[in-house]
Amino acid sequence: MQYPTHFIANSDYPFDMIIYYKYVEFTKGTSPTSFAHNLGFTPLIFGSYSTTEDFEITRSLCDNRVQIESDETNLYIDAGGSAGTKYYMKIYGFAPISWTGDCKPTAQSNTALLFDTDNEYSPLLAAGAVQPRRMDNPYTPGEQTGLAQTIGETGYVEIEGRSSDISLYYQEPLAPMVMMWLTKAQTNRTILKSNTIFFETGHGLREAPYATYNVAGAQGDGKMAIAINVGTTRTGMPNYNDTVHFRVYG
Amino acid sequence: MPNRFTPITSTQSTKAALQQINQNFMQLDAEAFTKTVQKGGNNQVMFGKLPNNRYGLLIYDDGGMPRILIGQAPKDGRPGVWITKSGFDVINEID
Repeated sequence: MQYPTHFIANSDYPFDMIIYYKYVEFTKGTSPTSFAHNLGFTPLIFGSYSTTEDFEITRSLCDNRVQIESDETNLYIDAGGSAGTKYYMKIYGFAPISWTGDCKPTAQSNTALLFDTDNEYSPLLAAGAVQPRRMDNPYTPGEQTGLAQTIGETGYVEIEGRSSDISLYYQEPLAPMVMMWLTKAQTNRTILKSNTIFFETGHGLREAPYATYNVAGAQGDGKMAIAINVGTTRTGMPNYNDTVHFRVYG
Repeated sequence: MPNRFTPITSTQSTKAALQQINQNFMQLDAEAFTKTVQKGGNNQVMFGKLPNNRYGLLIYDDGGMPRILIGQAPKDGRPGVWITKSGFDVINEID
């Protein structure tokens, strides 16, 4: 057993790389609502925004007021509020696991140190890109059982395929954090869906994707599980080619 | 000499001098595999062939606890970088 929580840095788990960063001052009604990112692939975008330049009150770029979508070419800002409202945004991006090409350097730090083990580095325990389970395909029995992996024991894992649920088993005292994005096939745009949102069993949402945090008991002996729900589909449904991207940090 | 080689004095017999030379060579030969730097009797840095027969650079904290390994993992020799929190022996923590 290799406890990620005992390490400050551990190269068995990648140090996740920010492949995109942009600071944006956006005025509702006058600023362009889209701009090119020049990456050559669809980034997994996240970040924060504020209505004041000093970011005194900071909110996530996936709340009900400001959202950012991405596709292979552009970022699209959807900001609420009245015309003239100004937003200050710090926009970050990851590369999805399906991207294997080059990325431009984005190294930055608020100190002179780009790598500083006085701070801990959250290990990337798992990442994935999973599509909804097909309910009407008799030739894919594997899709009926879901995907499962143990995380935090033997190094970084990647998960791809089709499944309605992804079960990620881990051992206390690990307390993983999940980030999820949804690529909608109908628009071909990708958007952050949640950030560290967990629901105990029985409180699940019905709109995929969502993550369920399963407390000890079902697994026993301090074994825990995260269930990421990707949803189901049938041939011809709008979500047939949707993809849920996720990243899990320790 | 500030380290571990013993100087040969002018009053030593030829036999004693040869023994001392060979002992110094043994020290030198050992350091071709493992270089260990100590302070106050505690290891500070070890480089080369490590006690577990893997190779790498091992850095200790003030209490003598190995905390940083840049080298081969104990179990399978895969190369990597591992840094443990205070109180955890980095060699024991890596599978």
